[in-house]
Amino acid sequence: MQSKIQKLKNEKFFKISDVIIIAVVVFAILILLYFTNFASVENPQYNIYVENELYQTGSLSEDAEIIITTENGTAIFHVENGAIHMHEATCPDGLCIEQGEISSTSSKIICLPLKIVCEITGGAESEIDAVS
Amino acid sequence: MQTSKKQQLSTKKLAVLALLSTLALISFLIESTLPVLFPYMPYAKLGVANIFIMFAILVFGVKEGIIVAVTKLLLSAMITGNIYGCLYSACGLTLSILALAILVKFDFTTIIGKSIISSVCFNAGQVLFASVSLSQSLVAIMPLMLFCSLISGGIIGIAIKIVINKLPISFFVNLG
Repeated sequence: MQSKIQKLKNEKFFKISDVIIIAVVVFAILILLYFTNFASVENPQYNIYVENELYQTGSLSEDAEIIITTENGTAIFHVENGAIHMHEATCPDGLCIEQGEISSTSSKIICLPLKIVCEITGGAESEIDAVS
Repeated sequence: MQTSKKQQLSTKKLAVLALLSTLALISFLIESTLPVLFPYMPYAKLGVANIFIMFAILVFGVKEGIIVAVTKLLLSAMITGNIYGCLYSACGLTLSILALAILVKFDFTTIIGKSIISSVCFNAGQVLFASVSLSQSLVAIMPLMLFCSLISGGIIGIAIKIVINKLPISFFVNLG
């Protein structure tokens, strides 16, 4: 036991292997960022999923209030000024409300206890989906 | 110094493990009352409780680390009543303890490197579980999650290194 602790105590604060680990993580971040679509879309629209099923879609340019009632609780989304935010929710942690408003395709509002996900997509794509 | 496997749990070790579990629980409870760090990422936390779990793994072993982690998880589930949160951290903890066990066996990094890798695994496990339970690809939040785990893993690793360096060697006597 003592020899193990002595070894930990004598260990250097920082080694080359740490630099390699940090470099690998930074590289992974950059690769993931490369595949994340940050481009602003024209006529963005929101898709709200409840328990993996599409609940409601709509354009971000029109103000709206969406009230969702599930067996686990109630959630109210507000669409204002081209952005959507969770106004009220009966989930225990309230993290979805603290997240604030989103308007870009790279972010999502996720409420884990109520199983609600809100994402932003480009308007053109969804029109094709609606036709097909 | 090799300790025999049939050795009984010493009183000192029992007390230290209980102390670590309690410290992990208290730091988790205090941390959950603090305001959110980044409004954009409400799930990002420093995870101070992991200091004590990782300390147990480094000083005692993986088995003792699991004891501390499970104790903290069950007690925090009972106190906060947030079963979802505990399921997510259970998933993250499983992955990060697995990663730490491998890293301790093939000892090639410092404590800080181990901390960063286990932190990355913790967040990856949480995002994986969230993706599965919501059937949604959550790759979009991974870059920020990884960045957060880089910082929190680094801070926690430095904290553990300082604690181990400052504790006198007499603290570890009879801890087998």
